[in-house]
Parts: sequence; C-alpha cells; structure tokens
Amino acid sequence: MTVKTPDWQRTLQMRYWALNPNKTFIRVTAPAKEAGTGTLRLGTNMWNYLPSVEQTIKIPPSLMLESWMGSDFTNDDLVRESSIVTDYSHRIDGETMEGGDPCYRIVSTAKPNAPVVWDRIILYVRQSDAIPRREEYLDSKGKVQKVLTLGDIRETSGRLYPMRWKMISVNKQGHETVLQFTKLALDRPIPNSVFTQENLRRPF
Amino acid sequence: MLFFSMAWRNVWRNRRRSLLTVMAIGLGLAFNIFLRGVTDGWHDEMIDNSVRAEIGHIQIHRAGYHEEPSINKTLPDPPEVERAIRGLPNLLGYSFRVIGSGLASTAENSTGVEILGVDPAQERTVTTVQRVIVSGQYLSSGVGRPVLIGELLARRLKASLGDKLVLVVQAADGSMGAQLFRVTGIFRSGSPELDGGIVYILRSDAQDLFWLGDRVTEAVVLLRSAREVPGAVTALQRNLRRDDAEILPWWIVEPFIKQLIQLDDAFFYVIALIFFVVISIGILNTLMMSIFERTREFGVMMALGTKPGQIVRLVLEEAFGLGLVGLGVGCALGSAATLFFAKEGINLASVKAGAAVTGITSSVVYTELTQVNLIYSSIAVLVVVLVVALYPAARASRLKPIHAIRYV
Repeated sequence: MTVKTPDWQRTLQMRYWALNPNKTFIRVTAPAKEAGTGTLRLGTNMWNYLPSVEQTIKIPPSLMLESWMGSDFTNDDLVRESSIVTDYSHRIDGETMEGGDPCYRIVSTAKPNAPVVWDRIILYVRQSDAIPRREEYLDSKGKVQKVLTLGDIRETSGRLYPMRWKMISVNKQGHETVLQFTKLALDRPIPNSVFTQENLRRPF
Repeated sequence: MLFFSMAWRNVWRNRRRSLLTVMAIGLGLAFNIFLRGVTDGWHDEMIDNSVRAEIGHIQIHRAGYHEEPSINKTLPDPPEVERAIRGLPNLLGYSFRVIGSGLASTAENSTGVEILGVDPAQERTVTTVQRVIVSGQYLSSGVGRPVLIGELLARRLKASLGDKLVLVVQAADGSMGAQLFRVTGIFRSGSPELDGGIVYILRSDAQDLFWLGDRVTEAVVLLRSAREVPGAVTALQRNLRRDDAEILPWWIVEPFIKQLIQLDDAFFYVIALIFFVVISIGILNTLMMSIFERTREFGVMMALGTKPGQIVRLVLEEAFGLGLVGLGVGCALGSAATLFFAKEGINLASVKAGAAVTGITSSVVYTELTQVNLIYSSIAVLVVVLVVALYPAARASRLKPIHAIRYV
C-alpha cells in the first residue's frame, strides 16, 4: 500500500486475510518501524494491535471515519463493504465508458434509516464480466468525497480480479492511496483461529 | 462672558430644582460609568480566563496552520521566533508547544484527543493548568512518559492515577506513532472542552511520538494585559520578517470570546441609551419649567434689545452649566464606585454556571476604570444635555416681547 500526501509518501507491505462476508485480518510486514501492526475486524467491531506498546486498541464508533494507518481508506471503509448489499437500494442508470471498458453506471442509494456514511455510491461495473472499475462516494449534499478506481485486472485462482485499488480523497488535494495486490489466492480455506484477538496479539 | 455669568447665576436661582437635576445627571452618569466598569472588568476576566486556560495572547505558527492544522506544519526557525518574543515589552511568559491529535486509549475505552506537548517550566508562565490539578501532579519528571489528563477524559477512559494510557497518532512521516504513557495527574478546569479533550505530555515525548525531531508546532505568548496585544502583534510582525510564519492574536484563535464580548457590548449600549433617554427627559422638564417661569423676564430682555440668538445662547449655557456640574458629580461617584469594586470585586457565584464556557473561571469580577469609559460617558452626557436644551432655547427665543411682558 502506497500513501501519497503533499508532505510525505510511504509504502507499507501487508498480508490480508478475509473471510466473507465479515471477517478481516491485516498484518503489516514492512517497514520495520511498523511491522507487526495488526487490524482485526469481526462484523462491525474493529481492533488495532500496536507492537510498539504491545496493546490492542478497540476502535470506537466515533473514529470509524478516521484514516486507517494514515491512508485514504477509513476504518469504516474496511468495515462497510459487507453492508452495501443490505443497506442500499440499487438501480442501473445508463451505460458509460470507464477505464477503456463499456460499463454500467449503477446508482446505489442508502435505504432510509440505514446506518451508513455515504448517502449514495455510484458504481461503474464492466459490462462483460461485472468487475467494478470505479466507485464514487457521495455525501448527503450530493458531493463526491472519495473516488476508488480499480485496475490491473488479472486472472488469479481461476477468477478475474482487480489487483490495483486507488483511493482519492477529493477534498484533500494531493492525497491518494494505492493498494497493489502482489499475490492473491482466492477460495482457500482459512482457519477461524486467524480471526481472533489472540492471533492479533501474536505478531509472527 | 456676560451671558455665561448670567446663565451660571440663573442655574443657582432655584437651588433645589437645579440640584435635583444635577443629581439626576450625576447619578445616571455614575451608573453608566460603573456599569461600563463592570462590563470592562468582566470582559477582561473572560479574555484572561480563556487566554490563560490554553490559547495565550498571541500564537505563532507556520503560515496556514490555523486554517488547516497539520503535524507537518512546524514552526519555522524557533530560535529566531524566541528572540523576537523576548524583545517584546510587557512580556509575562511564552511557551513552545507540540500540538497534534490522536487516539487516547486504555484497556477499557478509547477516544480522540488533542495532544499538547509542553515543557512544564515554560508552560507554567503562560497557562494556569497547574492550579486546577485535582490529583497527582503536573507532568512530574522521574516517571517514564507522564501524561496529565482532564477529569472528564479520565472518567471516559476509566483511568486513574498511575494507570497506563496509550496514545496513537499519525506521525509527521505518515507512520503510526504509538507510545505508552502513565497518568500522573488529573485536572478539572470546569470547561468540558478542556477536561474531556486535552492531554498534556512532555514536549520531548511528543516530539518522539510525532517523529518531529526537535521541531515544534507553535509558540504561545502571554503579555501583561490583553490591551498590549495589538502593539505586540505589530512588533512581532516587524521583527520577524517571515512569510512562512503566522502571528495570531487571541481573538482570531478564539473568535467566540470576541463575539460574546461584542454581544455583551450591544446590550450595554441599549441600557446606556435607555439611561440617557431618562436623564434627558429630566433635564428637559427642568429647563421647560425655568423657561415658563421666566416668560416675563425674557420678554423684558427682548424688549430691551436682546436678540433671539442671545436668548438661545443663554438657555444653552444654563443647560451646559447644569450638565457640567452633573458631570463632575457623576464622574466622581462613578469613579469612586468603580475603583472600590476594582479592589473588592463583585461576587458573582450565583451566575458561575454560565461562565464555565469561558474556561477556567473564578466567580469574582473586578471592575475596571478606563479613560475611554470616562471620556465617552462624559461626552455623551454633555451632548445629550445640549441637544435636549435646544427645544426650550428655541421656544424662549421665539417669544413675542409684547405678549411675554404681559404673561402672568
């Protein structure tokens, strides 16, 4: 993951385990200063582990919109994906070109009373194989706040998958985060013991 | 001179009536001066409270920090800034701080906080947080990484003295900084904003935590009085010729207090206006009485060749004389009352709850007598008296001598 801001730029290497729909485990492996830092998500609960102080910290709801590891992804971005199906209603709103591919433009509007951050999400999905190319996140005023672009679509474990995710914060000039998957294995069984606080506290 | 001595004698012709008028003017003016004195004292106290609670009289940062704070916007050339600050007259103290935001967390809970990295010896000269520590002490050295937190925050995090507290921040290089601190002190300022949202740590610890080296975020300056601020800002701008630094007086840092003061001033002017209306009706009454009473006298004067303009002048001078005496009485009484309470203070314990918003508060207000107050109030009284006297003067000058002489 590479984070770029006007003041600094840094690259983190990390391993990522996900058991859909709602379990995620992330461990930073480089650089040395931050290696061992971990994030565990179970449903809507989130914990960070900080090896420098050997402490696990539960992320309170009030900090869900704060940046995750200094990137343009928020804590909420890591938690939220699971609920896009249940918390939004979707409708196809025309066809456009995106990243060189013909795409459907899908407008997802938050259902009333859904506990979500974004009022609307606009998805651009490739017509040929339903792979998303671009996602725009809109706030309650209808203003685009974040744009996620997906690229480098390759075949892994027998499936096509976007290997490069680029998140831009529209209102923060010069801030962007690129997630590049270097190795990806899908449909592999993961033991449940990965997604535990014990594992979180045990770097390597 | 003839008319003035005539006017002066006319003023004292009906002693009781004139004295009553003088007292009305005097008491009104005295009340006005005193009220302004209370307001001035209260405002000074309010400014002083918020200034000494956290923000200081003047803050210096890297340009653009106030608009959009960031840990990467560090103060340019602190030694140069320090030299400029030391050159200020009426300097009480200054402090260099590291300021950033982060997550404070204990085993029980976590919450976002503002982190203030200070050198206690320096910070003591600016803020008064050491006076409101309810348990423990102010960043005692000797303990590895001490942290001083507010009472509200301590309750939220379920932290007490000696407990571990983890601060997680985004450091200046973008990395996650996290360090273990130990709670060595808990303060209660009365302001929920400070008590629930600020943690004090040592400046050197903050520089480690935020990966800042020896850089700092802000210099904060305390002067002898808020009145010195505009001059000091100009002096700093002159001595610190840097485009990459911003020099901000307290009212830009904390516009809320300034607005509160302006609102309060508006109330004061409304009350002052009401008072002047009441005074002017009293004066008008006295003057009209003395004009009616002397209709024949004016008739004779005019029959003997006194011009209408001279009559106007006479009446105006009478009013001026009354005003002048009233002014003396009012200034004397008002100043005496204001100076008395400037020493003794007025206990406002009953309204203290409302004062908590302004920071660390004591419940006693000390009035303050300023030259501006005296001068403006006096001018206002004289103007009011003269304006009010215009009508009776005009009436007197329009008398027809032939009718006036026969007036019973």
